[in-house]
Amino acid sequence: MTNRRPSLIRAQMGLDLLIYRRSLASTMIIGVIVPLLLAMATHELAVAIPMVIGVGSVFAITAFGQDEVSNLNRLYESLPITRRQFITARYALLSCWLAVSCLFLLLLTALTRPSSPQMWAIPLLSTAILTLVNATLVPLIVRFGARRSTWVLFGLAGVTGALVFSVGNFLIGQDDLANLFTSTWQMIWLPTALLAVTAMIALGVSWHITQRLHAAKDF
Amino acid sequence: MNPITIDHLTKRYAGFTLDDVSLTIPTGYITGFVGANGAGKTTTIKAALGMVRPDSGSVTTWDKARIGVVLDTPPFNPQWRIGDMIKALAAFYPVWSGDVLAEQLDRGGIRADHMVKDLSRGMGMRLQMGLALAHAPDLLILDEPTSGLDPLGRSELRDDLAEFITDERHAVWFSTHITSDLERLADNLVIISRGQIIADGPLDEVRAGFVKAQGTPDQLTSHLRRIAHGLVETAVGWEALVAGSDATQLSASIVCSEPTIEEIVVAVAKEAHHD
Ligand SMILES: Nc1ncnc2c1ncn2[C@@H]1O[C@H](COP(=O)(O)OP(=O)(O)OP(=O)(O)O)[C@@H](O)[C@H]1O
Ligand SMILES: [Mg+2]
Repeated sequence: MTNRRPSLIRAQMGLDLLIYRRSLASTMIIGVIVPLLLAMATHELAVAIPMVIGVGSVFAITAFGQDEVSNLNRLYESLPITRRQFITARYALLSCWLAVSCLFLLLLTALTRPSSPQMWAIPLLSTAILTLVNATLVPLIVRFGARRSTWVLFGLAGVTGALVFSVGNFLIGQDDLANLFTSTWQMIWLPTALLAVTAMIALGVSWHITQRLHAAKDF
Repeated sequence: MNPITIDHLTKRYAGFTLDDVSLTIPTGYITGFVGANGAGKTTTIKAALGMVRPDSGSVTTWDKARIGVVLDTPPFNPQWRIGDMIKALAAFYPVWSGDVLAEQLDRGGIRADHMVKDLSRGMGMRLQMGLALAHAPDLLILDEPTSGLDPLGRSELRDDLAEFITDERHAVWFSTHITSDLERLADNLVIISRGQIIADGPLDEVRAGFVKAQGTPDQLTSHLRRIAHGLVETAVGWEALVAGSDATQLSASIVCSEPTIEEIVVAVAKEAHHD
């Protein structure tokens, strides 16, 4: 068997897929089949979307968490792949995963036969949130390890939630502001677009930070 | 370019320092690497592979695609199926010989539908060895490759290494605690003690660097105590190793002989223990 010039990034993605294959059944049930049935039966996204986001959030923990427990970083270091390429492969796989999630969320939305076009903002917002969660988690796991990072993420989510809540409350109290947003474009599509762009930038920044954190590590 | 050149490498851990290590692994030879538990063999090997970032000094090695690696513990996910894992790892290399790998797996009784977690220690080592050889490397780096192998396995591994090194463009660097493997295989020997390289050269020269001295209690002067390595005293006499350069200072009545590698390693380890 001879591959003339192997693509190391693709090889790494293939190796990582071995880990995901194991949890394929549970991912399919909780992340795909149940949300699909719920969306078709109830024509509602209220339960389906959190389930997809929940399953989608464990992506980073699955791959990077495994590395710690099985000394896999030592395997990667003995392969021809560089540390930079390794992280790039992980983010490439993560991006594929996010794209698939986005398509699936759009499909779910279509199945609920949305009554208004604004409903289509929901899958986009959900993908943006999923992206932000993973973009935050990956560097945290590389820096602090999977177990501690989950707690750090809960903490961050709590703080962010409290912040959004109090800022929101404050804004709702401002009558001038309510008059400012008059169209649905401003109410829904502008924030959606902003969040989507933020999420993409965050993913890029996260990739860069993770590269640097990973490069400094001993295994 | 030498397969591996380590230049003034220093790595500090709490309670241990790999101290100013310099060594080269040349082509055409098998280099053995010995030292007591915790002396720094694995740390040096990990630094050579880039797993450990040095505090100072530098390491240059051949491209990883040319290096086959066997680590002291198999670095595989316990949940991987052997067959899937082999396919995934083959994709990293320009060349892959399924036959070479199959021979190793066969000898170890490893099947493609085994899971990594189901392998015994010896099977894990053989799997690593098979993977290391399958991509036709020019350099093998092996951290205690014989540990966990049964006598037949060890003998087969020695044969593999001997065959590998018949190509003079190849090089082997392996650490071990089994000195008989060194005596049979190694052309060169590196001894490490408490993070420092204390001997490095052709096996015979390293052995000639020490003299085994034996005598009666009255011959054991305080000066001799100072230059002796791994001194053992009994009621009727004593035995110690003395550096070849100090051997001229021994009185003619002291019995001198050539030590075995085992005796040198034990003497060095004992000394590290006492200080
Ligand atoms: N990541 C680490 N953090 C702190 N100390 C470490 C670390 N890695 C190794 N050490 C210490 O470095 C020393 C050398 O360890 P090393 O594994 O290199 O020894 P060794 O010669 O391979 O021993 P053995 O024969 O038992 O395999 C030990 O004292 C060990 O505790
Ligand atoms: Mg070791």
